[in-house]
Amino acid sequence: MRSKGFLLYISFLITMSAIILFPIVIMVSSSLKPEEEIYSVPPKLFPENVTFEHYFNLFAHFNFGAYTLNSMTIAFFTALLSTILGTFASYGFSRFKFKGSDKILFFILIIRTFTPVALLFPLYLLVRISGLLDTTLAIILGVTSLQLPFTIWFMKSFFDEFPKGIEEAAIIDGASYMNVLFKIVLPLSKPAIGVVIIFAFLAGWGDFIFSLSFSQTPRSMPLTIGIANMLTGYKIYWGELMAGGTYMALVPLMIVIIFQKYLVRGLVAGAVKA
Amino acid sequence: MRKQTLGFLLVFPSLFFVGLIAIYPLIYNIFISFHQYNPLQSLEIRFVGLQNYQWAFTEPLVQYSLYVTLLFTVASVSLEAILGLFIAFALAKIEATGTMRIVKPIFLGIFILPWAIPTVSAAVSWRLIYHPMFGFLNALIGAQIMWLSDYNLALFSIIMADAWKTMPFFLFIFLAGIMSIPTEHFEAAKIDGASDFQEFRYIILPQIWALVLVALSMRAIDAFTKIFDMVYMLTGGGPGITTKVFPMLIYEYALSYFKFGNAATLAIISITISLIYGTLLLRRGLRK
Repeated sequence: MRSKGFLLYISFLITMSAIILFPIVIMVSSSLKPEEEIYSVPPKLFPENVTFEHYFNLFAHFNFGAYTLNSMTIAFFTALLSTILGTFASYGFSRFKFKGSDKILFFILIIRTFTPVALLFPLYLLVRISGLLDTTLAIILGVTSLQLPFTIWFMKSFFDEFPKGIEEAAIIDGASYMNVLFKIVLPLSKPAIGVVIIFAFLAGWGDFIFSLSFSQTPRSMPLTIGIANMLTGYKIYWGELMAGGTYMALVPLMIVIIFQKYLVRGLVAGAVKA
Repeated sequence: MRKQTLGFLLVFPSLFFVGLIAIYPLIYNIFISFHQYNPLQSLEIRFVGLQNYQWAFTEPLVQYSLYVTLLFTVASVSLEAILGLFIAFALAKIEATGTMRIVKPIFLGIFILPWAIPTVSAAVSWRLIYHPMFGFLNALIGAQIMWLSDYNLALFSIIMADAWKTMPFFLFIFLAGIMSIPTEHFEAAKIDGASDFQEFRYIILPQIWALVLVALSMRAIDAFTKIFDMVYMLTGGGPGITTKVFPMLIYEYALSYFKFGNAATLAIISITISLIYGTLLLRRGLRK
């Protein structure tokens, strides 16, 4: 055929695809099985009778309405805060180098290599003293601080490659720096800003460690911790657990399917640029 | 306004923010690491000198935890990188046949899924796969294996789940690398009658080797410092202490036992590792 090993490659890729899809298929299909089918030995890949009761129970008995709202709040404000702060900072780092700016950039970037857990208990005390314990705000601030380095890194390398001629021309025409930023640079940076918004949103949506530490009641509890807590109960409700996992994955999956090309750029950027 | 002032004003909010959320805890950790502070027993913060460090460097649990974390890092990162490399190569090969315009996006759409799915979602699915009674893995291989509660297997099971979750990172980086190799190289190889293996070994690998090293070193520090959710969800650090990775150990000393002096010392050790590693990594990266 076309290439010597063509069949070999395509069967390797199909096998790998099956392995990759396996956990997802199992999660979705088990979430639709009635209780007794989940416990059947050996387990069947697909449900014989489809039921949505587990999804219903999530909202009726497991507080998923409140968790969803909290996850949305955390993801949305993490994206908003880290993108605004990070975009301005990276523009500053890229265009207006000042004394020590390289050192500051270096420090912000190196924070990415810290384990978030190392910052936890001092932050926990800080959060408790300031009355922010069990609020989504505390979680938002934590996730944002760890997302900022990525945002700054990604946006800075974007701005570094941005043609400076346009900006210089506008300055000569008498525009202020701020005008140039808002009227020229930012509108042309939409694709890059889109990438950092999505990455921050996903980071907020999937946050585990800050939520686990700062959230204590459904008042601030997001889906991640709601699902984790289903494992520590007296009995594990497998159907609800699978429904919860599927439900939580829906938002990121939709985002990835719609924005796949942009996201790959963000995923690859780190290594290719560094 | 002077350009430098404007630069500082643009950077300042982020700097303040990172300062508050990252530098304050860092300084506080250093301070507390020389003290005993167990708020469950007493609110007194007692100076103990280097006692916590002495504890950290002699306590077998700490050494074991560092060893487990290193083992996890090396195993999962190598596995992910090898899988990512093979899949990227296979994708590039079918791409080269030219008639795969529809199939390739489907494969890419599938392969990016694990990266998109939150760790918590992935973990609950793996819990079901690994379940000894009605799990799919045992049914598939016809065995009765306790994947998550066997002392010898628990870490391996976590590595498998993590490799599944993180393989896309390498795949997409390597694919971008392979695609950026000028096609003349492949054409020349074809004329010379090179086999696929020779093409992989003598054209692709040397061309993307720098990229492989960067991706490996970035992912390694990430694996070493960020492994938490998956372990928390799958084994909780058990059975015994067999999967007690370092971030989990710090977490337990901090927010389960409330032994802040010990937790701070472990945090400082972890941050020191990150600082040394990160400085080397960034220096090399910035020099290029």
